[in-house]
Amino acid sequence: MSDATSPPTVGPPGVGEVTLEAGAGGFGGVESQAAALGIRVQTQFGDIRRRFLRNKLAVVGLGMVGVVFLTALVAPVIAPSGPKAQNLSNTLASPSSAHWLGTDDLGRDQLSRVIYGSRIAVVVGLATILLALVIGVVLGSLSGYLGGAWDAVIMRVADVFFAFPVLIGAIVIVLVVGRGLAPVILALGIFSWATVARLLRSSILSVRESEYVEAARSLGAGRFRIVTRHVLPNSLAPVLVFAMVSVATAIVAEAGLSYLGVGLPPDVPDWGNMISTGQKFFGYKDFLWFFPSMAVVFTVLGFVFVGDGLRDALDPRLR
Amino acid sequence: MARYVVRRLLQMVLVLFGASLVLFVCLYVVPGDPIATQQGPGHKLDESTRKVLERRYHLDESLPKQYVHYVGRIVGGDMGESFTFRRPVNAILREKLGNTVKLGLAAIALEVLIGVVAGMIAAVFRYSFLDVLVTLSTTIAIGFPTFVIGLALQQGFAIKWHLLPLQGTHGGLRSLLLPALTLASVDAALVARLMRGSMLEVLRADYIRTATAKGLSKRVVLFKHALRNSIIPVLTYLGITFGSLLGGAVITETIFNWDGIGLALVGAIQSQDNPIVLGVVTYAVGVFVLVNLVVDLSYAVLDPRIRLN
Amino acid sequence: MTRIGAGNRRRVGRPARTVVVLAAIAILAAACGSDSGTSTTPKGGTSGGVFRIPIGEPKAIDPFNARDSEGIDIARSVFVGLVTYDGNPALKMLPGVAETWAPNDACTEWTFHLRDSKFTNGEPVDAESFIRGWTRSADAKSASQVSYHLAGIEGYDALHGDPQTATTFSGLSAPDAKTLVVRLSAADCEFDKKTLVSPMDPVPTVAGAADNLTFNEAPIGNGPFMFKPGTKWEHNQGITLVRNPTYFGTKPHLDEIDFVIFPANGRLEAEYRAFTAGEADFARIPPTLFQQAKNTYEPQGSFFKYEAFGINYLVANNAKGVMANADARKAVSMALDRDAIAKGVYQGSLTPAAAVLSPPFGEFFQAKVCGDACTFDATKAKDAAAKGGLTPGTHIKLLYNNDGGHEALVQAIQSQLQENLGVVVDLDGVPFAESLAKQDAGDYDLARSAWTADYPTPDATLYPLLASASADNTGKYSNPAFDALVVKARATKDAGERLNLIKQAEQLAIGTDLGLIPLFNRTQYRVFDSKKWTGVGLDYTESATFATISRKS
Repeated sequence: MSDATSPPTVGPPGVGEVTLEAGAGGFGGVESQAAALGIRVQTQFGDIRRRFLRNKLAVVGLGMVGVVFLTALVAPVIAPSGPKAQNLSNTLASPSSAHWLGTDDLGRDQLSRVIYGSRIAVVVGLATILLALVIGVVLGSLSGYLGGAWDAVIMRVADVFFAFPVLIGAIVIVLVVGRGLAPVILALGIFSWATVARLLRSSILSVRESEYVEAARSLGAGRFRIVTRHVLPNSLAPVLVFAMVSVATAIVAEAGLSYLGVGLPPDVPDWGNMISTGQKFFGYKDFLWFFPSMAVVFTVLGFVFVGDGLRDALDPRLR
Repeated sequence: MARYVVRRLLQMVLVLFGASLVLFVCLYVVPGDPIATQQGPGHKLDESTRKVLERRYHLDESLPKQYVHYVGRIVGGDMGESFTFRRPVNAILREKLGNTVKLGLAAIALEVLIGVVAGMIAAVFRYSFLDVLVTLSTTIAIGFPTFVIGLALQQGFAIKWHLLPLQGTHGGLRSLLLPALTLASVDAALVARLMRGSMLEVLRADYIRTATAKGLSKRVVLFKHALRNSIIPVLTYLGITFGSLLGGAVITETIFNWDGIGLALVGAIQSQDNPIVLGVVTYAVGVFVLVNLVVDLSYAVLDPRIRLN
Repeated sequence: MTRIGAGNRRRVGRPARTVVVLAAIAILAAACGSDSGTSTTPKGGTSGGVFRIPIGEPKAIDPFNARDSEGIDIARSVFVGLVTYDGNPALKMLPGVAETWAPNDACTEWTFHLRDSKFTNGEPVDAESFIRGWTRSADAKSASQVSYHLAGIEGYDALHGDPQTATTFSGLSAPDAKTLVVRLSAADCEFDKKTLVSPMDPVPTVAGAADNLTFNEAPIGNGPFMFKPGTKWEHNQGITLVRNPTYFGTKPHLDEIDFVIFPANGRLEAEYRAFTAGEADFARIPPTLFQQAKNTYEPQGSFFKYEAFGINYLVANNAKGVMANADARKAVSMALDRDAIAKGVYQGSLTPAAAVLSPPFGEFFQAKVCGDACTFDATKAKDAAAKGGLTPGTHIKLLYNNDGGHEALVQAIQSQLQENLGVVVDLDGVPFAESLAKQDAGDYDLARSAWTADYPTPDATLYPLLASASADNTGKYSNPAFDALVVKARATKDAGERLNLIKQAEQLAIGTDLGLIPLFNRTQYRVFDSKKWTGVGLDYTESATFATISRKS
């Protein structure tokens, strides 16, 4: 049973323990040197991987995520019909052997739509967090490492985005830009970068005063090298954990936006849209909202398990 | 200490202005004419009425000037007039605010109750069936989007078993139960996990062992020492989420047709009733920032290290 | 007023219809013969009762600005204007506050003779109260969004224009307290019908200016109902009306109406649910549950149908783009299998339309004025498409507002056009506000739309939708011959002649030119608790006929 106890933190996280290996050459570099010395030294990366794999729930999560990715990849192959194929003479049909998950109010096969919906989920989830990471890591590193005026300005801007309720902010952005995949990704990403930046900044603040960085500096390493080879890799850990869970949050948020009618256009086979349509038939054709909901839950849980497993693997206190 | 407070207050004002500016610009950049939209389907708006209304709402002036008008009004506490209802936004929001606050407070109460109790049980009876139950269910609960939980609760309690009203605010406490439960659900799971982990750590601590060794009963140890110390992370977390809960739960209010400001927001966005949108978001951001400030200040009071930083 | 007992209302043939009309007139004559102060015993029911009906939050209930159906529900219960209308297919107006009225020969001046009656606060409902109300509605400062109804009256432009050049309504005058004279700026032989609308209600002096919040929240009127004393509009909660004991006409049977206000989101479903749970006596039916509602409630006599004065249609961009060609428009129209859509998307609840005027317009209704162009025929459609330059692969932009639940309809249209014509239909779903802007800018080829006549005359549909000078003619259909016909019809006093002119006009605009593409008639369905109530129907504003509802004994 995984001892996953703490929720995604927002405040200053604990920093992964700094071990000797990570200092001199980044991950993996020491292994070759040590091998030359005939010593089998377990690298930090290997440690993490092993701890992760030992966590049963994390592995299950990895499997679930894998299923979702795979489904997204081979959707056209495994879906019985196109996601937009209408059949006005067979609307609102209950699940049957012809349509495993039934049909919606335009006669579209629900199973196909759920399958294709995984594509949207994956794309939105990953793209959102990628956007948030790019902006957040850049701004967070600048803020954390350079300090001073940079820090003050960037953090105040982050505060503004932080204070905006995510859903409301996303609604406003979609209003301005219009409905569609890019606006939704933009909207969700814009309100997530602030947390990434903050996490990274705290992380960096703790790491940059540490000994091995001083050592690297005294060895004559330039600022850029220090940031990219020493500071960043060790600060990224909590960010990565957050990123994993954020994919889940992004998928849920996107479903929420579609539910409110400000997400993707209605003919797109998106789980949120399907749940929203399904709610019109609440109590009468419940299969319409049930299956897309389960798809969302399944996907989100996968990412949450992975995120939890990652955090436990990175957290030395559980060693 | 005073300097810290002043600094944080200034920060808060800055954030408020920043947020309102961003929102203001967004609203007026949105395609579509808010005045024409009020007309609805059917006859088009005639020119002179349009001109009169545009003048009344300063929509014929440049954007920066409009923002100045807006700020001037807000500072005096006047949020302007709703385009759709021709009533003061203050009055409209005040009617709905009570519902939102009720919902937020009820959700927090449920979160704390369910989360703390579940977490404690799981920690105290570690590795037992109860522990497994709590851990598993809290983990799974996090995977459920709020609206799925809301729909499921509606389906069960309102439609199938006819126990509670399906939606709306008309039914008093009975109407409050499902929305509050929905809003509290994901957070309750997080609180339970937090509580469990925190309590597990505390129970391992030396001073607990000392207390037990001293001969204090299990119950005293548990409730007097362990609980008090392990609940701190929970309070931290609550402090963070309190602001957003009070700020209005848009999705929950939408599912249950709960007549709060979140619902007002959704409606106002669709009808381009910009003053209401501005009013609601200003309030939500304001509450969030204010609550954060209060939480941070209380930490500063409690923890001298922060003050001196 | 349509009386609905048990079962559906069936469309009756011509002779039977005449009988019904005569019977209705007879009943009304008998009913209206009673003087104010007594109430009649309703047939088959008893007096009293509290009727619970769900509505949405009105935007405004003060008559000067009452414009959405919710607001009109309230306003038309609390106020009565010069005339009333009971749904008769002859489209004839019946006495309201005015007992008799007539235009001059040129139809440029109307004189109304008023009866003695009072507002609920004791003030007299005299000619001055009408002038007060109309001025209040038309005043530029009031910024009423429905003042355009008064645009045909002399002096409107000075009073309503910006900048305002007058503060009184020069076209209105009151030679004595019980006579109202209205001078029009252009001939209109149907002006009396226009006075049905709320902005033309009389108001007492306490109404004050248009932004008088007290009056906005609890207007004092002269209608069959009034606000329950001591109550006002409880926003997002409800409105309570009670019978007006001093109403000059037939007193309603109901003691009280409880309007329960539901939030806008998912309101149809919520209303219907409230009804099925026994919390409401009346409800609309969500389109998706239509079949279910019919199956459950029709056998009980709790389900009825009402053909409304409205039309669902596609605006076609007559000014530019692929739809500017009449053959292209006909091609699109013939490529649409309206029956399939009605069955598949609307579960058979809507009837395909082949005209822009619907059946309630009585004699004016021409069932097949659209002819072949509104009948599904894929072959003919392809021929017309070829003639009209609508080659396979052409892109057609179909605009609609994505916040109105029209997804199923537009996607079905898209699918049919693509299949039957080989064109590519680009769906453009935008929020309502933007869809208006896009229509104005001509940024579309087809646009989903709906229209309901404000008062029972073809002019209220034909002119706004198809006349060149009309601002509501977003499709920009322009045919001077059509314009001449409708303008002439307005100035024609003889009803028979007017009938001909209107028929010709519709034949031209729809039959020949197909300036817009009719889709479905606006048919309304409602459910009500027939175990408790009788006399439940809909009037021309699609409000419940509160005045005729009575408790079953």
